[in-house]
Amino acid sequence: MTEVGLLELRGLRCRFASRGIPLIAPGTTVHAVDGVDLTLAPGEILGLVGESGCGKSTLAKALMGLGDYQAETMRFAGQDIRAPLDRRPRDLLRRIQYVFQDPLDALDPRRSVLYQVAEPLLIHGLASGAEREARARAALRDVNLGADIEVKFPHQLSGGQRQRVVIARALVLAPEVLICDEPVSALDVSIQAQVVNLLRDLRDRRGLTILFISHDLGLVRHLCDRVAVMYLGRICETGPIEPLFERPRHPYTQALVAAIPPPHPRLRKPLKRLIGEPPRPGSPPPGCRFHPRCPLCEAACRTEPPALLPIVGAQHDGAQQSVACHVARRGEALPC
Amino acid sequence: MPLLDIQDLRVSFDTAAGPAQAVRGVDLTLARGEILGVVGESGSGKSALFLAVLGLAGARARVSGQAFFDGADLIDLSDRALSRLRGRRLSMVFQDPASSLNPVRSIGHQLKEAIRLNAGGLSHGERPTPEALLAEVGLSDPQRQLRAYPHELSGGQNQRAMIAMMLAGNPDLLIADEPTTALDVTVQAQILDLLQDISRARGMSVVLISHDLGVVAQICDRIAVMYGGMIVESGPVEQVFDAPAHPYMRGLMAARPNGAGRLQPIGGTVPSPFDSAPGCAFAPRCARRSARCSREVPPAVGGQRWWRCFHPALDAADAKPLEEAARL
Amino acid sequence: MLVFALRKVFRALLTVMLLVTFTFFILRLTGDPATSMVGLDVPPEAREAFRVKWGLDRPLWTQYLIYLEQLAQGDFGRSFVGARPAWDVVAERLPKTLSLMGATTLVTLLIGIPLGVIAAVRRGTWVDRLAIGVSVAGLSLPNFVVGILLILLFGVGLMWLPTTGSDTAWHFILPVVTMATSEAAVFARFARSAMLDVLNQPYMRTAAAKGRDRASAVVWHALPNAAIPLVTVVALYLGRLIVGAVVTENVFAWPGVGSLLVLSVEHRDLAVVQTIVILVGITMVAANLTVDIAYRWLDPRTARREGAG
Repeated sequence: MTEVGLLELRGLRCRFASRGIPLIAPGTTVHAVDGVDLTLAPGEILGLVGESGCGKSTLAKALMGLGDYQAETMRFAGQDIRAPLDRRPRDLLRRIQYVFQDPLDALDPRRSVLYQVAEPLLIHGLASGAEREARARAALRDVNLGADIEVKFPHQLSGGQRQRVVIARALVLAPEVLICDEPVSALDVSIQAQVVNLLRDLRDRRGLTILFISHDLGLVRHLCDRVAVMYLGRICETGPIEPLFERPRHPYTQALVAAIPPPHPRLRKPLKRLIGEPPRPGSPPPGCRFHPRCPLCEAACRTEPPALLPIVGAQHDGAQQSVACHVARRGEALPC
Repeated sequence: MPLLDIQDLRVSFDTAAGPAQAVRGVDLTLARGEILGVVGESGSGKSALFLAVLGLAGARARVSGQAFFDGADLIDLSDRALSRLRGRRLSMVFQDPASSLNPVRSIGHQLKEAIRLNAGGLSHGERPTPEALLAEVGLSDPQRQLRAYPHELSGGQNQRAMIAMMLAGNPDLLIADEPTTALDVTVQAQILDLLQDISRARGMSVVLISHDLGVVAQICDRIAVMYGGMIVESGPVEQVFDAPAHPYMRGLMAARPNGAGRLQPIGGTVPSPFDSAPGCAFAPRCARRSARCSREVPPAVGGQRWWRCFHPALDAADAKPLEEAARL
Repeated sequence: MLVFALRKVFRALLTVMLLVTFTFFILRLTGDPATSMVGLDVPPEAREAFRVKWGLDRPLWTQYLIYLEQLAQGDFGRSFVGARPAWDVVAERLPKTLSLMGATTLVTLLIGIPLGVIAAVRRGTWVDRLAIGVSVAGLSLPNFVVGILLILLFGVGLMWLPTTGSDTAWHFILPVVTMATSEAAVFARFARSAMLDVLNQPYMRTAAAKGRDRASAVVWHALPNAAIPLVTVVALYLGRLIVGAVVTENVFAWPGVGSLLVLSVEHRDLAVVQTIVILVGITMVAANLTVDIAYRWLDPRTARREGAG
């Protein structure tokens, strides 16, 4: 990752502390995210995948300035953004916007769509009166919502319309980065496509940079340029989308890709399943965090955490595939 | 004779806003040992249909029609008689395994309860043991898992434990309502394998209710696509995926990534259960509709493989999903 | 678990200590025992002599420290009336109050919980509406009103039941009915809403899918879960019960701690009032502690959290 990123993250750690009892039992600290480096190039869509509890949402919150986090580097367009949400400059809040899973939670049930889309402009003091409404209308058009929607209330909209209203509300501030945490998981299949296509268009037309967090690998493969795979608070593999899905190097990525349901019954895969359950983040194993479930586990994996390092020769159009695995790094033949 | 033969089943729920019609006339058969996938989006009636078949739709449900199970009409049975069939002949597992298990009873307690209720009459040698059932569903440490409470196990382990409970009576039919929706993708794959293995090993029929076409494609023999409370298309799973006839099934496939470029959302919204407009429920969202579509409900056309559509997409020219999908 | 209990006990002691301190100062700042005990129609010297005798002439802080010292030795002080140990004065009346509370609790639970459970299971039917109606009535009528109505009807009007004293089993009926009416109403409401919540849980559907019939699913799966929120109500209930006993004992001239309390407050019989307050405080704190522990026993999700990590 040598390219200059719009958003750069180095050594991010996010903690959850459980309260202890003074003098008797010390509290415990769990690192939900434990040393993550991530770079978003301008205009790219980066997918962040992993199973529940892997820390992907915690990472998104840290980017927002929420939670108990620390980082060596957290930069946006060269500017240090390590400050928590309430101490971030207003302009920064405008330039990075967020979209969450459930649009109904994100919308005020008693305000009209137009008001809610215009409200960020009011809060940021960016436009007045008529201009504000005009820009809100433009944002609604950008997400393919017609004028009839303006006067409606959230409960009168479909799930896909609601999520597009949420996106319009983010877009009205003309952000440079959009962080989407499971933006389509609550939507029906026939509706998901609206939102996915919209995100793709926003990138293509406006050069919007998007972090797309999802557990749906099929959608990630369809939408994203690059992907980072998280397991128990660390990134185990990252790289350009097609090469990584074609030839995943990390045994966990291989298991994830193998578990994607086939798009057609004639493409049922011979089953090679990952054993065990995703462990709870409370007590991560030493060494490589995946080693207790790993079919390739060796002695070193149990003690030595592998670093995320580039794979020699795995470079595609300037994007580097990297893996954090002792075995894969040695270049031994991996079952794919 | 099919194991389950549903005829013109209708379910509506009494609500403050009037009757909500969840299922509007479903005909469906299920053979012994078969795995049937029932696909539909939220509000399609897929869960209500099978809850009604099992008599679990609740006090506000009004159910009409027939559901012959091994010859007996389940809709006509008394609560008592139906209760005696549940767990022994027909069982059901649900979406969220953690909340579907009693939080204050151990897994062992709940599993033994299922055995006592459904295999209590069997002699000691024939009665399944909790350990054997847990082993069958792939829980590797039965002693620990029997003592555990649901909150101490992962979602996948809880779902396995629930399946074990439902197997205690050696049922002929297991209905799995979105059994993997709350689970991670690697665990989902494990549970789907498990359902398929059990079905084959026991000759047990499975109804897999899902919103996910991929899940159905993975293990089902046959598929039924539901929309607006009706089955709009059904048939052997390969055939339906090869050449989906109903525009809705086509739309569903095009809305998911399939290697064919841009996703195609289906415009419009799902019909309201309070709506009682005549005609095909999908007509308002359908690109192929004609005037007739909004006047009368299309009858079922075909045999093993059938659909309800006046304008099915039978031209193979625009149906090449397999070639496209195979590129993935 | 031990650490948890120790922490709770420590907090409990702190609560009782604060209560003692608060009562001590409030009682002394709001009235003069010498005036109420000796009276106003005697020479001031007599009142002064009373103050010196009982140490009331010393600075408040000194009195407080002396009181604490006595308390630490298990001495609750002496009643101004007959100079008997305050503890003895309270203790001899305790059985009367406890038997009243015990009988009330029994009636409350036997009526309130089944009523709530049946109302929930038969939601929306006439049984449910009747239960709601009864519990609203029970909740909205204060104890003293119910008590007086009962006295008027069964004591004065019909002359079926005794209205004062505590000598026979018959004497129990009216006070117990008075207190149990509102308490059973509280329990019925809580039991109903706890049951409604539980009956809608997905595991009830699972129980049916397993072949449990409705009635046995309610007993085996719903009740143990509904009991968890009800346990919390028990601590609340005890507080209400104590207040109810004070009122009811006075209405029916029941010779218990409740009527003693009112009498002693009137007379500024400081040691007795403080003893009762401490007793009530300890009871409440102990009840809360028991509830916390029962909660963990009933609900494995809280009990094993430390171990699960």
